[in-house]
Amino acid sequence: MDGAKRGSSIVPSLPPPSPKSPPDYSDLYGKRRELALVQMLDREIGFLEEEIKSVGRIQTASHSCKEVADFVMANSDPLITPSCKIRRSRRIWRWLCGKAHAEIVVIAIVLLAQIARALALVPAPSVQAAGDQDV
Amino acid sequence: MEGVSRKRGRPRVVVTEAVAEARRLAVQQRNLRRDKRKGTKYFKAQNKLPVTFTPTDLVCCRTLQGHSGKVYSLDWTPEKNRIVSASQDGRLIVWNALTSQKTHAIKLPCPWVMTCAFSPSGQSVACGGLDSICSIFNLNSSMDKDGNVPVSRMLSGHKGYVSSCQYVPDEDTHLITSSGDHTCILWDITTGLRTSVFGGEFQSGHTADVLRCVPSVSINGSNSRMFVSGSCDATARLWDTRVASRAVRTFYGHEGDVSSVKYFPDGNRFGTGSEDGTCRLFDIRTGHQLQVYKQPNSDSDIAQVTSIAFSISGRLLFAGYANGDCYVWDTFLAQVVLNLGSLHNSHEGRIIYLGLSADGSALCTGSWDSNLKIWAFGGHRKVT
Repeated sequence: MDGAKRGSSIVPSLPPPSPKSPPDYSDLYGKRRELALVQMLDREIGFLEEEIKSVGRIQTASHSCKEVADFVMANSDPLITPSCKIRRSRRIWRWLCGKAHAEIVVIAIVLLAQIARALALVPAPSVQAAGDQDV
Repeated sequence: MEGVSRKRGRPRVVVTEAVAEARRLAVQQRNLRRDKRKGTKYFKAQNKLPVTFTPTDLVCCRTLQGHSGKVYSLDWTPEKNRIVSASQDGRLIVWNALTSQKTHAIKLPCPWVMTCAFSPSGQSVACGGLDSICSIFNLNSSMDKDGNVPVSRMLSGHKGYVSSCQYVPDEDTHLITSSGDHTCILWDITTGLRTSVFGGEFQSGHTADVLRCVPSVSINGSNSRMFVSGSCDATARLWDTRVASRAVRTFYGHEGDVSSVKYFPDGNRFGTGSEDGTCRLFDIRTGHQLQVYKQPNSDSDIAQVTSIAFSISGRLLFAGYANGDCYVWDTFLAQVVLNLGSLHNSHEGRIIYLGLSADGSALCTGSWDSNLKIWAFGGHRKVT
């Protein structure tokens, strides 16, 4: 190669790089995976066909509803207090205080004292001047 | 399912279509079999009187403050009034619900916790989250040098986040987890090993993230070895822990992720809550959908259900929603009788989890406002 040729000739450019496709070999892992998925789906079809056959033998929904109703009506619910008389429920205090019965007793005593004063059974304490006191 | 297998055997798309058709047939047969007098019509026909509440009948009697991040989960002890809560602040807190005192504050190895549970004995707590691990803490163990409760066992094996964990009733040594890897796992805590894996890539099970799993309630001291799971594939499934190869039954009906599952107190029904905004009541033995609890004013934006809980008699269904509402449903008549979210001292954020105390006298709500609140019956009322 001499400089005259290099100066006048067009150097053929290399083709642009292009990603190669993966070699055409058997993708065994992919095949087996596909087969496993198909088998799983076939199994699923079998389960569903069994379920379709069994649907005719199951009890009606109203029978289930009756069981629900019977259970609910047979069990009391602390969040729903049926009352024969209209009265204040102390369930929240029972829940909050739990074993702290002393607190309940104190509250009861205070309430009773207020009621007693209101009924004038216990006179309210009054402040007496020093000169009024008996000597 | 994507693509078509061009290899030998039936094309996958054909099999997929066959599965879908079989499912449609199963649901159709079930609908035909369903008695027309289901749900509301049945109970109205039986003259079941409605439950009525005034705004002061259920009151917030405790607010548990201590977390500095969103609360994601909570659980009551089976006995005694203690609660464990999990928060985005990376801590579990154990509370005395009566006194509001914190008995333990456990710093977690991974702060992205999504679920927590108390063991039946109340001596351990479990949690899990984005680390894909279920961690167990013994509340009676000594603190480590940093003053933290050490992890007593780490259950690793899930390939996705742990969305929920629940102990098997009356067994401190076994618990069930659900995961974003589409599976549920039954664990032996003593060995830290997986006893069974339910679902998975080539197993018959959920086809999307499993968001919730709940073991069957213990009836008369007996454990039926069943549990129910809810998934992003819009189904709930019943599993037998002795048979991991397939679900016993699949429950269709929801049109979105099933984000919450709870057993009805009789153990033969369960409720679900979903991103489609509805709650539903299913019969376990027959698969029937007995009732749908559809939000009022559902023409406007429908809020997703975040969590549900039944009252101890089953007459009330509590449901938390993403818009901050917390409806109390009459399960018979599918009517909203109260909205805890509208009460003046309710949470300031989304209620993300609900849990009823063991004796049924109190409901605990956990919220993204970082607080927990305890609700109990506060006045006089009567069933009219």
